[in-house]
Parts: sequence; C-alpha cells; structure tokens
Amino acid sequence: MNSNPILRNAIRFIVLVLVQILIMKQIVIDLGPFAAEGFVYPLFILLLPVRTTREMQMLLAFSIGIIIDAFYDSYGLHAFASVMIAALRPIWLQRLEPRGGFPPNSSPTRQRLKSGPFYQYVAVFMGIHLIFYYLMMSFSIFLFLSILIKTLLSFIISMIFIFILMSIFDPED
Amino acid sequence: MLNLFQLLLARFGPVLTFLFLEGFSLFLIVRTNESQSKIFWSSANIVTGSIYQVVSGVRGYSDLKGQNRLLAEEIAKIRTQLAPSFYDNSLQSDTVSQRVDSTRLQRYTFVHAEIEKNSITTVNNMIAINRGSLQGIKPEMGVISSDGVVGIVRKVTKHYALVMSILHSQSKISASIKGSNFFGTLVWTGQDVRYLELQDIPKHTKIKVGQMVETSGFSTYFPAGIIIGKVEAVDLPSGESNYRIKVKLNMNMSSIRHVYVVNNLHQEELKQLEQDDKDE
Repeated sequence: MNSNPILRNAIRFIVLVLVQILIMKQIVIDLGPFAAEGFVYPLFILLLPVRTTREMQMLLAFSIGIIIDAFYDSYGLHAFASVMIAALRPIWLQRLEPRGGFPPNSSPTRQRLKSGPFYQYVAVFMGIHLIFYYLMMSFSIFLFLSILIKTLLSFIISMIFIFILMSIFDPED
Repeated sequence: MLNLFQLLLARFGPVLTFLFLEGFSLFLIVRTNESQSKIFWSSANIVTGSIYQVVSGVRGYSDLKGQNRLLAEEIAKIRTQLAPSFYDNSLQSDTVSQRVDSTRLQRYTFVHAEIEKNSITTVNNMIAINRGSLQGIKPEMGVISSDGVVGIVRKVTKHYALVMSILHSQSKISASIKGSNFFGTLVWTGQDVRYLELQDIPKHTKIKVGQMVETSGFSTYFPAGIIIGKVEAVDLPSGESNYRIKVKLNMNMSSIRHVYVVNNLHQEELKQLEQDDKDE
C-alpha cells in the first residue's frame, strides 16, 4: 500500500463508497420518530494527504459526496456536507502539524497522529459533516432538537463503524 | 495583469472553489428535493412578501376596506334617491294629491354587493356576487358599478347571485348614444375585454367618435342614462343599413370590486303588461 498516493487514495475512494452503499445503507437504526444511519465515506476526505491543495480537496470531497447522493437519492446533501468538512479540515490539521511539517504525501492517519488526536479529529469532522447533512435535509433551524438527536444517533453509528474500519485497515498513509 | 490574476487565484482560489461547490450543491438540493424547495421559496417569499406588504400598504390600507364598504352602501342609498330612480308620477299628483313626495314614486332601488368571483378570460364570463335571495336579489335584475353596466343576474341562491357579465356572448344590453334618441343593442364580440359593439343604430344618424354611450332605459334592467363607455370607432359594413360601433368601456371589468344590483320595482308590472298584450 506504500506505492503511489494517487492510487492509494483512489482505492480508498472506491472501497469507502462500496462499504457505504453495500453495508452502511442496509443498517438503519429506527427509534420510532428518529431513524438514523451511519456514514463512513467521509473518512476518505479526512484521510486525504495533508498537502493536497485546498481546491483539490474540495473537488474530491464534492465528487464522493455527489456519488453517495446518487445512491441515496438526496442530490446535493452529501456533497454539501462533504465540501464543508474538506474546507474546514486544514484549519484543524494546522494545529496537529508536527515540528517541521507533515512529510510529503502523508495522510493524517491514526499511526501518524496517534489514537487520541486522530479520533478527536475524526469525531469533530464527522460531527460537523452530520450536522450540516441533517441541517440541509431539514433545511430549517427550527427543528433544532430533532436535528441534534439525529446527528447524535448517526454520529454514534458512524464512529463505531469508522473505528472498526480503522482497526481492520489501519493505513500508514 | 496575468500576475495579478494568478495572485488573486492563489489568494481566493479555495474560497471561490468552496463557494462554487457549495452553491452548486445547494442548487441541486433546492431543485431536486421537494421539501427543501418549498422551504427555500417560502423563505424567499418572506422577503418578497414584506415588499408586497409595503406596496399594498401604499395602495390600500387594510382598514380602508371596511371604510370602502360603508361608503359603497351609502352610495347605494343615495342612488336610490337620485332622480333617474324615480317614476314620474307628476300627472297623478296634479289631479289627486298635492303632496310633493308623491310626484316621485320610487322606481329603482339599489343593493350594494361585492364581487366574489369574476372572470374575463372565457367567451361566456360570469360573475358571482355576495348578495342573494335573502337580500331580495332575483333573476333578471341588472347589475351596475359606479362606472357602468356590469351584467344581469341569472341565478340566485340564498346568499349569492350569479351574474351574466356584459362580457358574455349572450349578453344584450339596450343602449343609446347620448344626445340622440336612437338606441341599439350592445353586445360583446368575445375578443377584447375593453370593447363592446353597439349594433342596430341606423346609418342615417350622425355619430362622432368620442360620443358617450349610455343605457337607453328601454329595457327593464337598467335605469336610463348610465354611462357605459365612449364611441371608439364607427364602421358601416357595405350593404348594411346599421352601424357597427366600437365602444370603449368606461370601466375595467377585471378590477371591479363593488357593484349595485338594480331592483326595478315596476319590472313585474311591465312584464305583466307585455304578457297581457300577447295573450289577447
């Protein structure tokens, strides 16, 4: 897996999209008024090489978002949330940058950041992603409580599966 | 110049990409998802709505509506007392009674009504008004507005009446050119809602563009002398002995709100007379 960073990310893109639509789409937690589902595909955006240009990050985030949208019949919702976290990600990563900067083509993985900061980073951006996703879905701030509950449910499911995935693959970059 | 462009792109590239992609996503969301699009447009309507509110505030205060109704009812009362609304009873009074009042017998009364439903788009336009049999409205009563003739009552329910608009292919109104004694029939040709056609005026009368057209008073529906419109054009088709006169309506049929139903107190009597004549 230490070969070409483009190939590596392309494979990650495909695998995460497949996991999302073949596995995650089948898992819907239904609690009466609050049904929620988990999302693992944002991991692709979060694991993009740190030095990728911001425009490229957003474009890639948009493309994975719009593909997920196509499968979820929710044109624009995932794309919107994905571009949002791609745009905000560098701000958070600046704080985590080691002395001397990240090596070229390196991704902010668990191995590189250590478990604590890595899951903190993933949790923050999964939270942002889900809040924007549900906010755009209801398209109103007046349903704040229901958005919050849905985000929370979805967040828990997503984090569990992201944890499982990271335990299985645990890439270095 | 190119350097500046590159500098701008380097500086604002991420922001522009972000705005473009999020804008496009938002466009997709609003366009494809029904509930979002409803909410989006209704929020947009809050903006346009407040503009409309200002506009309507200027055009007509909401409490002015009630005032308008009061005024209109007042006018109905006053019309009832106007000269053309009376039947000239002077001959009788000369011989029988010296009472001034009895020189004028009430002939027409007016009931104020508001238009509930109006159409001008079809060939047979009908108007619904908010007065019915409870207010004494009966079929065959004329309906006028402050600017002209509106139509004739066709059907009546308890609270509402259906009026055949003058913009109806069956509508025939007896009308005359003001200042001449000739009268004709006013019909709608079904095309332009601003114009009627006055037919049956013989060609030996002199007609000028701009002359007023008014109700003749020869029908039982309307009092005489209600201004309907102006002569817009005069046409004499070859081989015919009558003019075809294009009459521009005095009022805008699409914007009328208040109308008056004409109650001809002598209608029954006149009809009876005609009936008796036929029977003989």
